[in-house]
Amino acid sequence: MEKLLEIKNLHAQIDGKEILKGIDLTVNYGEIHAIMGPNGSGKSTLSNVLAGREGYEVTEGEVIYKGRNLLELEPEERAREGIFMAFQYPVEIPGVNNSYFLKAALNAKLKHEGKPEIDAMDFLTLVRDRMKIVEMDDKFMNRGVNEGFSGGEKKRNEILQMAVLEPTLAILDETDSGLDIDALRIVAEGVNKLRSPERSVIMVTHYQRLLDYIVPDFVHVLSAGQIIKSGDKSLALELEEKGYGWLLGEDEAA
Amino acid sequence: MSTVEHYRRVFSDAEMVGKDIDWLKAEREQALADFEEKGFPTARNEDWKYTRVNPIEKKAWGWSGKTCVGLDPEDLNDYVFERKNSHVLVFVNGWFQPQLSTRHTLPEGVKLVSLAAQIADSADELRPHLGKVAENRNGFMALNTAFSSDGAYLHVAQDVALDKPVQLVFIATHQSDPVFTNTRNLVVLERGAQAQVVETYGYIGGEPENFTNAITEAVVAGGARLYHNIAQRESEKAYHVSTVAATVAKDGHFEQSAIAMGGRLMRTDINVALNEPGAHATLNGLYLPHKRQHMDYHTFIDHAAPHCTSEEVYRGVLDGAGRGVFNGKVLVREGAVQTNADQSNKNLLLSKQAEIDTKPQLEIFNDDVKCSHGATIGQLDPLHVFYLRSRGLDEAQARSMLTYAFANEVVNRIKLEPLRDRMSMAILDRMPGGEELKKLV
Ligand SMILES: Nc1ncnc2c1ncn2[C@@H]1O[C@H](COP(=O)(O)OP(=O)(O)OP(=O)(O)O)[C@@H](O)[C@H]1O
Ligand SMILES: [Mg+2]
Repeated sequence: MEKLLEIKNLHAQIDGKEILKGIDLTVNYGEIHAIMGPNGSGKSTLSNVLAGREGYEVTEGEVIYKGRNLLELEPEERAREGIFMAFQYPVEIPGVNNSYFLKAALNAKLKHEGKPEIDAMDFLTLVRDRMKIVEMDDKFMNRGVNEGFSGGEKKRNEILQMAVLEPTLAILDETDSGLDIDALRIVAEGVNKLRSPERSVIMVTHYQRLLDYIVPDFVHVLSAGQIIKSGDKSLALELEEKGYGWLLGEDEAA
Repeated sequence: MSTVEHYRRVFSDAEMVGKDIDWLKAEREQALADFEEKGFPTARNEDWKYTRVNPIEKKAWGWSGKTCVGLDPEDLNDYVFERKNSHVLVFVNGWFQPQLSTRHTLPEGVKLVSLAAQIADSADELRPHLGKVAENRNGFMALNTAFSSDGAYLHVAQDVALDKPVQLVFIATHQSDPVFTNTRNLVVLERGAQAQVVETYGYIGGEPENFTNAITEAVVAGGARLYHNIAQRESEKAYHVSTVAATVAKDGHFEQSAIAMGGRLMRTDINVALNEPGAHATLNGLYLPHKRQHMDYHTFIDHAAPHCTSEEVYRGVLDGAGRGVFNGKVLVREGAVQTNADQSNKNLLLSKQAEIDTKPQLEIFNDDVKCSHGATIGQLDPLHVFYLRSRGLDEAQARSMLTYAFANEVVNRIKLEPLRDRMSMAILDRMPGGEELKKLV
């Protein structure tokens, strides 16, 4: 199977504090990987490093994406190359219109791919179609990006952006947190619609529940900046039952 | 030749309108004497601490005569919106240009003429108001009073609403000698009258190093409503000093949006006196200095009567080595109980060299008031920039989008839609990647 992403011995720190302590992870095209792990273990840090957020210093290791050194790319270049991170805490940007922001993002990507920009009508049709998937109302498009959105609405907006931008690698950082049962199903459907042999997903989650809807190919447990266990979907069930203590204990024993 | 001698000589040679009208002549002479006494403001004057006017003082500004202007109305399209739906008075280098203007039939009770025409026709009609709203508080104002000959005169009779907005467009063109224009506008709204006025300052051809020294006086009588706008889009080599002074009577409403983009050096004073109960003032302002521009807004709201309200929203976007000054004075007098005054000034610094001096100045002389004020200075939030970049926008585009959003807090407060759109576009024109953004908004 062809590799989309290869993370090798990744070490990263924030403000001189090491958070990621040697991550190894390979994601092939078409795969869905779930990452679980206790609070503060470095899941968001990993997501942010992949998306290119500043303030994170990679001190060791490498990340190969589509055969290229990902860490050399600016955040926008990564986005145009198909990386999309749904934020654990989507940012409110008052005054930046949701609709024109999304159109700018899509056009940036199309331009990068050497395609013509989308015209206003086609964009509207596309967005309407994608909004149906996440069951979002039209009125959200004319508001500021996430401005005054409820927690769940923000998460849906992230998925809407994802559905419009059709990334190759979607990194969903706890997109299920704070969602009601219906929203969880809606968001999961959005992800499942995107699922294809050309695309991969990294899903950070605390809950088995999401994995009932989006069945992962692999489950990894991140603890204190390292992947301490990997397995298939049954690992998530086992974790649900036994908690992280089980694994951490096992780790100590080893 | 000293400054005093210079202006005295310009004064005696100048072809002012209404030289034979005694009271006007006396006022002008008095004003010149005021100027001689006051001189140009210096940094010793607290009100001018951050704005040095030496570059203006150093030049020997001469009288701007009526020259022949080879312009067509279309040349003004950048500055004029919707001629069909508004009255447009165009002034070039200080003088009214009927051939570039558009005046539709006016409702009964409305007079809209050039000041020069009104002086020639009946100066006495101006006398009760001219120079009464704005005193000669500094050398610039005194100079204006001494030299002013043209501008706009709008009079709206009781209970008449002027449906179409009035656009006053002041254009500077390149002149071989340095000249100053002393534009003087007078707006009088009688009881219950309504009008919308837009003052636009611009230039055509090259980048003239002109000096605009303008005063607008506005009388808002009981229950009247004046929507006043200023789009300061002078050349980036120009000097612009102006004062807007308004008095608002019982239940009157004065609402203004002032946007500054042009000028090498700009200083604008907005003085609003809420003289009778129920009077209201809204002052919106946005200054966007970049490169080496210097922009200074001094606002002064005088709560002189009980039950008056005021709301002030000023924003600054400062880039390059741009420098901004905001001084927002609110005076609540002893008897002005039940006053409600809000002021907010936020500034966005886009570069390391950009600078802002902001000073809210509240002077409150009774206890029965609700006043709030807040001033902030900040940069773009890196997390916001990252969020946009993480979706594929390049850094410049992300920054422009966020800056535009910030500026829009004021632009969106402009009531007049075509002006709002114009201002949006003009702001985007000055931003990196603004062309891209224009396609979206
Ligand atoms: N700017 C910072 N300075 C110092 N430590 C930081 C900084 N940002 C994050 N950290 C620390 O890095 C660690 C990893 O944080 P991260 O957000 O990656 O955890 P997480 O696994 O996503 O947790 P959660 O499940 O709660 O979302 C935490 O201990 C956090 O406090
Ligand atoms: Mg996290």
